[in-house]
Amino acid sequence: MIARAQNKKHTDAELMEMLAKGDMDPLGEIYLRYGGAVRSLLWRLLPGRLASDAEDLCQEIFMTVYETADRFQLNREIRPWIFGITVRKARGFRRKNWVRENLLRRHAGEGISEVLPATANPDSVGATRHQINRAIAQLPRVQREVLVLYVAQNMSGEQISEILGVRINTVWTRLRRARLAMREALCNPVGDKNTGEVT
Amino acid sequence: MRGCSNLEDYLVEKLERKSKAEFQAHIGQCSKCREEVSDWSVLKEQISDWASVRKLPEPSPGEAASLVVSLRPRTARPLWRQPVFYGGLAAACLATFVVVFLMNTPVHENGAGTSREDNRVTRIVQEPELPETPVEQSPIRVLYSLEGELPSSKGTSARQLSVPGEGRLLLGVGSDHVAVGAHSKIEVLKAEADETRIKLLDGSVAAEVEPRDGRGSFAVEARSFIAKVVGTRFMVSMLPDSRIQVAVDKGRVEVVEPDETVHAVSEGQVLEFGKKSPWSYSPLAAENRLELNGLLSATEMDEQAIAAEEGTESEEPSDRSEQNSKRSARKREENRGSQSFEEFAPARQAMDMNAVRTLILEGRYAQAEAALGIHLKAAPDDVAGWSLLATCLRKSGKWRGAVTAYRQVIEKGKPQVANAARFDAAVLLQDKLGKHSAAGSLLKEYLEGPLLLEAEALLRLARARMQSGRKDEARRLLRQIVEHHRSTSAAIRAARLLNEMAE
Repeated sequence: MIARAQNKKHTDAELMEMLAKGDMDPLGEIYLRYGGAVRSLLWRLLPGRLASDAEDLCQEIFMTVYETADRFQLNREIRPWIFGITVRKARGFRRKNWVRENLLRRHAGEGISEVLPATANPDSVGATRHQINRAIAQLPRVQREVLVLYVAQNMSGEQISEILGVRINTVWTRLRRARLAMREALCNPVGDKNTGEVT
Repeated sequence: MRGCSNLEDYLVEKLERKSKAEFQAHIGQCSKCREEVSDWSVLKEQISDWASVRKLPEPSPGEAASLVVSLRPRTARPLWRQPVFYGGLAAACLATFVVVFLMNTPVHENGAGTSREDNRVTRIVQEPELPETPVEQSPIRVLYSLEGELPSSKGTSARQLSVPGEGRLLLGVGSDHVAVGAHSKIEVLKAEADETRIKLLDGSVAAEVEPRDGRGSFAVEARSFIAKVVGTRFMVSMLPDSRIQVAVDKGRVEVVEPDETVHAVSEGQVLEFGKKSPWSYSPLAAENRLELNGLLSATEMDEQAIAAEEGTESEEPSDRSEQNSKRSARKREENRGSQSFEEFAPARQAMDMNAVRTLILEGRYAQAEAALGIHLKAAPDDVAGWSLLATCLRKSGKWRGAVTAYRQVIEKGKPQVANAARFDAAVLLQDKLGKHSAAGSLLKEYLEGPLLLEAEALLRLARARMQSGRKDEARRLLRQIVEHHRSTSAAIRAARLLNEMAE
């Protein structure tokens, strides 16, 4: 009897249907299927943050999955839907830190401009992971989201459009700007650019 | 130039086959487009490489269960978390034992037939009737015994095992492990390669069952109910008021009522039931999990007991010889099969870290510390355990202990884990203990390893150097932060410090 229960693999839609009816058990299975991807996406959307921040936020995301399961359309794919929640949670997290970061940045703008040398690394091909991390952190939030989803998460333009709730042409525009901004940042790592830390 | 206008569409693979071929032909002639395509390709590779590093591990089934339990809206306080429970349990067990003993006496003492209730159980699971004679050459091995009463070689009692006092009994049944708790008694009804059937007569029994892959079965009977499992980790207990509790840590258990009604108990759930009481589900509490793991794991005490029995050297001081002599009353089955203590060692690592994490999250640091202490004595190389202990001690304000635990992580952990511990230890040394020199050494090591908080570490190192009077080095470090980590908040603090130093 138990063997039957264990061997039966529920589809995502079945799990979401059970969740929508108030049964919390399927949440564990959904977490097993998508928890890793969600945590990784969070960490990538929050460059400069610790992995533990992503871990903490992850719980909130799956709580939201449970709370809003009844609004999930069963004919849709679950991954873009969960990623949409993830992106919104990441924005919320950054918003909470907005005041502190903004104040510090303003102070930096006044205090350190004279001590900043114009060091540059013209060799974009040889950019290290560290430089990539810094360049992604400097991107405006909307560009970073599209770039991470497209390149790091291998999502299609249509899926990104669904996740972010924007038109597909907006996705391509943001991706183009992100590409140009990344190239600029990697060629001129300390250029006077919008750091993108504030959303 | 018409070809150049297709560049963006080509980069995001939006072009149809014909247009794509045309653009590829165009690339051969247009160096600008060729460069753009090449740059994008390199950038994608670099970002993919960055993403491969910035990847967090997939969650384990234990984590998933823990998530469900922690998110499940908390209802009434579970019975086992009420203070009166443990006090009342001992008295209730005694009463239950008497009742159960009387109920089962006709079956187990004469062995000549089955009661009406047992007939019903047999019919439910559609399996052959129980053998009337004791199982010979049983595959049961007694792995550890603390105050356990082991089966004699004669009569039906050969199948009964009990722990009358505050001990426990750990059995190997085939490839499975069964632990009998304090004040508990079980009877092994069947122990064969494809079927194990245990009857809980009193107290509690925990089991860790190898996955059966649909072949064979493992069942625990409690009164007229059957907890049937295929690959799981669970515990069945008899509660006061004739109720039975089934707690599942891993896998899934099905409880079969006499009328064939089946109740599923999932991972991280506890089911309580009785003939005349409502069936209630609740989440598996941290204490439950610790108790289950405690029953099933082999502790240092067990190791010492075995060493004493085997006549090997004991590190215990002589004033504890009395305790040892008490323990020597414990018997160990002569023929334990081929399984040795070392082979069973992985069970020592079986402590559920999620249960300890829950204790820490709930602010019950003393309990978490005690549990980790026992675990780390048995498994001193468990980096995750040391890391949790460090967190627990840090949260409870025991800075020195936390630093010591972090040093264990540094010594035993993988590079990235060890480096994170270096940073955390340095923070405590610097902020809480005022040991700037020691903090500086750790930070310097941190900056040489795989790191995440380069700017933060540099800033702390600069402060440590300032405290040690090495102002030139501090100034150099601060400038380094300002130059290379401009987008971080550390750069702002570094700039402030530079200004202060200049004044």
